Amino acid sequence: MKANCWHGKRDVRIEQVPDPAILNPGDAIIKVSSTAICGSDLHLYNGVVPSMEQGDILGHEFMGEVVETGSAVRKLKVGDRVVVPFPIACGRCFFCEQQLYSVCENSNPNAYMAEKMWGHSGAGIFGYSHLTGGYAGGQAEYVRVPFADVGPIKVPDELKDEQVLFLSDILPTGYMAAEACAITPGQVVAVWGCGPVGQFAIQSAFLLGAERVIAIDHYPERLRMARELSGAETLHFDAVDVPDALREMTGGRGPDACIDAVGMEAHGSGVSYIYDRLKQTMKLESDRPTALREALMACRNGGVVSVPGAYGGFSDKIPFGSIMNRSLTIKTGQTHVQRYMQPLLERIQRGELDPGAIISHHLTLDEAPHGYEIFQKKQEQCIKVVLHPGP
Amino acid sequence: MQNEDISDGATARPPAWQASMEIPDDAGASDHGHDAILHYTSTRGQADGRPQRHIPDASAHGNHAMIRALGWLSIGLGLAQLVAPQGLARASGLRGVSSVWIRAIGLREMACGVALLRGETRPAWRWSRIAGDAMDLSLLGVAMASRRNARTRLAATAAVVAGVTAIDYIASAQLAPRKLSELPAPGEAGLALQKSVIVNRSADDCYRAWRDLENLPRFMPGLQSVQVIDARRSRWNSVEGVWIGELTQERPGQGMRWRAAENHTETGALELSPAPDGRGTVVTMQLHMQPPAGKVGTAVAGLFSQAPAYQIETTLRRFKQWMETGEVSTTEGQPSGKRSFKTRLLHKAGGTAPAPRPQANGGVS
Repeated sequence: MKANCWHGKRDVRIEQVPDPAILNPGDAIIKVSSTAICGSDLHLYNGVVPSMEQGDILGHEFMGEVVETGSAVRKLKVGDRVVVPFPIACGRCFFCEQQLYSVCENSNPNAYMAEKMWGHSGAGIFGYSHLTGGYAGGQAEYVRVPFADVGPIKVPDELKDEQVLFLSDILPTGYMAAEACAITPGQVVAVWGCGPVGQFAIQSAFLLGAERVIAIDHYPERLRMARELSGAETLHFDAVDVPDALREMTGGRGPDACIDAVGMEAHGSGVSYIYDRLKQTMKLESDRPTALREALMACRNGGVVSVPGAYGGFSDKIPFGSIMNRSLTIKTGQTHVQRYMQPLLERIQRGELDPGAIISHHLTLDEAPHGYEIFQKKQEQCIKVVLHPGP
Repeated sequence: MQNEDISDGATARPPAWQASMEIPDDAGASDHGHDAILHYTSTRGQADGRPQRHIPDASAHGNHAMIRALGWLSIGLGLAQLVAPQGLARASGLRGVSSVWIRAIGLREMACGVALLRGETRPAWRWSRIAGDAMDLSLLGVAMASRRNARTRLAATAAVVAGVTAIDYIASAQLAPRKLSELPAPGEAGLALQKSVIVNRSADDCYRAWRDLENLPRFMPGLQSVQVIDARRSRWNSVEGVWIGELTQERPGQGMRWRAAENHTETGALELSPAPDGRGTVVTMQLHMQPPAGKVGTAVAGLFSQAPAYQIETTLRRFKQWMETGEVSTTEGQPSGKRSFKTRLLHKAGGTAPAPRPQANGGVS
């Protein structure tokens, strides 16, 4: 089959690889109909996530048709059309029982590696480095899905791929980020980053009762989408001083909740940005927490800072004194996608959400390297790329 | 170390499971061999019979005699340098070195000695001694280059300093923090490893699954098959060879002990106890090895203890996966693009040993 493989910094290639096989009784094989490039794939693309190896198949947002099932699979049948969540969860461990699927104890065969890096291991993730299991990803014609009875959700035929594909990651991620803010009616939420997760966080914040959402970015097309599609007020961070603007827009108090939908490769300006950029390049710091620092400092006293943005290891100069002295709450985590799929599917069916509207590019799987390039460089007004492996 | 361990009195009590069903041990190895691994000392008593490894307090570390000797040696040497710098210089083969320098080095030496005697364990102090030794050695090296100095004496001095450096290094290593999971049981030599995992199943389920020894290859890395010979003995086939394993104790629902029948220095134990609030079972596995060459052998084995530690950790992780889900998570055998030479090499050498092939739903119900 064809698959999009990682070969180093800014080097992905479509290669012929063997077809996946059932390795465990709970596995299923999915024939991929649509798969997306996620913002966090760009961290792999840019070579800042440790433990990637040449030849790794990328992709953790995908959906398709079940073509084979292992002997222990009960709920899925060949022919089912499913969306697959990006964290792999066993459904039986202590954490899965509490719906904390992305910290499943059993799905990461390389847990010993993750323990060295993070103290304890989280769940395995498709196509996302060997720290998270080294699972082959879904930017391919076929993919093996472990614990197939736990993760994948069947989707009705009348919904198109692009309406449901993002149930695999970015839609629940944006939703969980907004949910973590514990929004009460009338509140103001600020969102750093107007990429796909930022857009869904904005929409979810409104769905959950926010009165105003202020969105921050520096790409005009993203800011426009935040305004026109998601209904946010916007701030262009190259044009205005963001902390100052947020103070002014909130009567000096600060937003009630702040969402960092940017993660470890933030863009920014000023001395601290240059400092991070240098340290990250020299591998003295794994993450570039420019947006996170700003969100922490801008949030109102006693507010919530929610972090759906992807971070890999260690961040410098986190203002912990500000967090402690001002009673901030930090909420973060890889998304417990399995928990949100059904309720969000129902919202889509009811027409409350239209996830497909953020797609800027439909490409074939063969065009994946081009997709990565334009997404990375934000060329062609790229916001979200969906790849179609099929004919 | 031993004194402090005994002083809490807990070791005097018999281990909780001695009252349990014990297989008569006609091999006569119970006095040292396998019993040596588990010497539970718990300050909170042993009412629940849970294994509890003695946790050393701040004063229990390292080889006191050696460290005390090193401390006095340092003070003596430093004093000599302080009082008779030139005499010491002549004796060690140095000529024309300023007394001020030698006195300064003497002061440093004495400070280190005092710190050692006071039981100073901060890493900075430990490493300052080694840094000092390195400085002395390099000074001697520089002196060696000069024709004015007596090279034979210098070489002898350098040999002595090198010896002291080695002792310093060993003492430092002994003072360094150790992993709790790798501390030998109190009063025991040898290499002892212990790991625990919480399994989301009852202790009885865990016991039954493990006691059926033919299941072990499902989750023990490197083990290919186990054939049961009789109630006690079984034949273990692993990538490293074949040996006969012998159960020495079994307590249904609570644990068991075993040893390698032809090599009584290697023993293992499994302990099961309920996790708090009914959240499954704490499964603890221990391995104890008595390397042939006593303490030195233990030190050497400790250097290479990665392998047994990995064995225990992986065994427990896979046991948990299999008990909870009926399968062992793996990515072995999945497709990938063209691997680089380095990646292929890493893959072979790295910890990602192949998981056992699946057996239909694992047999756990």
